[in-house]
Amino acid sequence: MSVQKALNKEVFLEFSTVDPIPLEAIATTFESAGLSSEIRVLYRHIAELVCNIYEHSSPEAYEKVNWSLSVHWDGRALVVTIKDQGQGIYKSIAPLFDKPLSPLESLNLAVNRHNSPFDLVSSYRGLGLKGIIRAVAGGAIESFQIESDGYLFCCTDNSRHIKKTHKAVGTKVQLTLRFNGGVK
Amino acid sequence: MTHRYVYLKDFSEHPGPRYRRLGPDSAEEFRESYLVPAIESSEQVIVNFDGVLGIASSFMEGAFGELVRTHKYSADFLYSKLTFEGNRLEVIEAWECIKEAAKNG
Repeated sequence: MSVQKALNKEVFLEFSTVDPIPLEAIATTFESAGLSSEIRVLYRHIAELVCNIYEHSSPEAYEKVNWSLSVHWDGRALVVTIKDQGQGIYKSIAPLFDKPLSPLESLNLAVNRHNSPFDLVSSYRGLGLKGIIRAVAGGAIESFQIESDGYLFCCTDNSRHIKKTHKAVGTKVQLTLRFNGGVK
Repeated sequence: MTHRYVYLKDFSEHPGPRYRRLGPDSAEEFRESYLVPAIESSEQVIVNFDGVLGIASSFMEGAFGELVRTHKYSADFLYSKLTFEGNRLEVIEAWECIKEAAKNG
């Protein structure tokens, strides 16, 4: 089966954090788009990323943050993009530390939970991203990118790096999944 | 010896966020409504992960790490009390959450 055949509907969903977390609705949307096996691979990671938006994208719980989830086929792999208009990683992580952090250090901390000079472990932060990076290393997901505060972290099974990019509002995450090869 | 099975899918096939305040099917609700009552009323508790679409790490942490932090169960007590069944990685992650919570307080 080709991806084009499987992805029988465009997936673009828009939400805000004043709505309840729509995890079941997201799963149903994937299934109705012909992506039942893909959502089985991706659900835990999507759930983590969406919960992160609700928990960390705003300094105040009552503040509304708009976010979206889209799925497209880039000609080679399925690309899931989750994007929010929140405060970004730097403003979420920096207050946890006494020492001033740069946006680059903040992103580095978020994606390197156990290798950082700071202690993110006791704040229970970074667990989900660690799980995604582990899934990339294990071959379940082809690649993972997270962009915030003008920096982009890219992770594949043989490469991890952070590069400077244009500064945009919020946080954007992309997961790519090879069709018929989601789980090696 | 009394055994009790706790099937996560009976709680939700779409496990949700860590905290109840963040939305439905939370780890906090699962822990308080299913896990702790089972732990308090049975000698052995078997937690089965089969039949759910997936489990986010924050759900795992909120369900099992918080048994140590919030409910003050020791890791040794939980090692002797709990058995996890399901996907190997999920079983390992559940134990890791308990181990890390005990280590980090």
